[in-house]
Amino acid sequence: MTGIRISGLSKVFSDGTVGLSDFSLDIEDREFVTFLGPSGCGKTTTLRMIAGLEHPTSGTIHFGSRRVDQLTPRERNVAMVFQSYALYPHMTVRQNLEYPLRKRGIPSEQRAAKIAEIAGILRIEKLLGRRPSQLSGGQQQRVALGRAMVRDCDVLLLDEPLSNLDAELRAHMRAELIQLHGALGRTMVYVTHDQLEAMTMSTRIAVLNQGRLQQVATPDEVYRAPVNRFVASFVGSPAMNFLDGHLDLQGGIIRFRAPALSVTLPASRASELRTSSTGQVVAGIRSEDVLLGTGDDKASVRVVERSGHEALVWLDAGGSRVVVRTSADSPVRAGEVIPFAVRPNRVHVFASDTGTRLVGPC
Amino acid sequence: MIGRRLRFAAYNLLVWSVVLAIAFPLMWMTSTALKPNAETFAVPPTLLPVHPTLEHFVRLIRETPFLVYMANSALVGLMTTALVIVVAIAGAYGLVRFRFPGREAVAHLVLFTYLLPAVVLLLPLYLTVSAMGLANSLFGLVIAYTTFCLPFSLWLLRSFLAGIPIDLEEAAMTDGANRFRAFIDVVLPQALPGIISTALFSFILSWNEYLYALVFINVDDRKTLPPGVLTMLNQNQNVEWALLMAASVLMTVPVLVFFSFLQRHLTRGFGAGAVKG
Repeated sequence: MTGIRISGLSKVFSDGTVGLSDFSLDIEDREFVTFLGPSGCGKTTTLRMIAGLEHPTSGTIHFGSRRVDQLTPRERNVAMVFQSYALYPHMTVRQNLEYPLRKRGIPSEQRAAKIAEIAGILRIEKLLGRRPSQLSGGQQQRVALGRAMVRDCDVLLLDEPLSNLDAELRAHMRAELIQLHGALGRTMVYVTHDQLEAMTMSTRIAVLNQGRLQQVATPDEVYRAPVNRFVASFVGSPAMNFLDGHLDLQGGIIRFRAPALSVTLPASRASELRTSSTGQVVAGIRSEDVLLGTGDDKASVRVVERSGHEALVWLDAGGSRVVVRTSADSPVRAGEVIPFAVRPNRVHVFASDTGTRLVGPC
Repeated sequence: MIGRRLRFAAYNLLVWSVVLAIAFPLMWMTSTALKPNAETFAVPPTLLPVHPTLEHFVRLIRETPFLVYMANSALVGLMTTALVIVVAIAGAYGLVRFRFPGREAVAHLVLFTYLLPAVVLLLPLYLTVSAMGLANSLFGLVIAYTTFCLPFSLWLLRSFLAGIPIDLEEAAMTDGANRFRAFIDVVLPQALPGIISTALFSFILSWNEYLYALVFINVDDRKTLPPGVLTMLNQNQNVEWALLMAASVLMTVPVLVFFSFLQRHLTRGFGAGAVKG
């Protein structure tokens, strides 16, 4: 039973750059938490501090009730999958899998049994005699996973493990990782910059930007109710549409007005809003929350991307670009001017300066 | 068609003339070592011995302290090589993996030693070594040779270690090894070609070194091959060429063996893909 409790974790590198500042997070036992963010956001630094490969400048890390932040990686009993896989090139696959067991002083019979079991789960039995250089990228990936899973670690850490695979294999491995997490019942921390990986695999996502934790929530909540403009823009594909405009608050009715769009927000939202936050704002609208062929506002169609199961329509609404997700059989064609509307209860409103959320969807 | 053949022929001619120019002295040396004394100065010279004989080799081994010199040289060579490798790999690892102020400066300053000609260092080094009580000791030579080999070896191994992804060590550490174990298990096997290059360099340098060996050692049974052979065969004002050539052949053989044995390992390890990405 190993949860991870991180509190006030900070990292300032020797050249003065801040890798992470004041990061606190409780990860429960058997949870699959993903650190999501752009490169340089501090997600890998955080993972490396959990692993013990990097020393925190301040803050503490506990595994269960055990404080680990001053311990060596060996003493922490973590396993890690590296982005580069980091397979030992001079060892065979079997020796690679055996290495962590050997280092833990596990007797040879148990080692053999454990390797056979893991090789079976990952279907790499036939590769055991080969060297890493003789394996394909996907096979190397499996061996790297196997080496991390082969012993009973408290925490399994994965640093962008799928980023070197091609798209098809990546989709396949996502499904496998979900199954593996279920089967192993280990606490897993996963680092990625790919929001799709984060959304599909995690029990919770921690979104980071510029060394700061932005939001921790379930994938659904991160998607549905992002706490700020950064999270809103980083999660979801196509990215959320953002329209500059301003808020009018009159007689308990809030209206968002932009050059090409005007929406009355649901009355229940008015209470969230402080009067000071009216004025210049940014509205965020997901592509599936824009309706075509209805409403008072008009926009011209720039491009229609049809992908078989759906169509993405790129609108020019008063100079702003709005991407709309619609059904594949939509008759819209490029060059048309069509009416459009947004679902009022799905509009996110962010402050234009700080990016924090003023009005959320309901 | 003809142009291509001509180019092929010209290319081969060039290559073979270079090979011949380099190999001829070695062939002549071997040939002379196998000629009886009467044939050594025969006019016109014979390219290959007409009556090949091993008498010079037999004399060299039976009647001279050649084997003692050889044993001394081997001892000095192996000890220097071992010392250089241990010190250089530790130093190179420190330069590559640990961050400390002046790291780059240290790495570059190391090569400064080669700006000084060996002769300039001869006296200071001799005084240092004899102050340590190591005059006339083979270990004094080992120390001197180590100071010659170390800068280059350090530099060579540093670039080798820099090419080994740090991920491998970190993986070993999360797999339960401490830093030293990770170094032994993962870094050393990867650095093997570099270590072998260093070994060859150090061994050949100390095997062939003449000046320091001449100055440092004045006791006959502790001499190494280069000064030993030269003084032994130069004693009576007349050089015994055949014997000298036989000694040269025997001195070349260990280096050739050492080299041909290790050369195969030299390129191994380059091909193995350590890390994808």
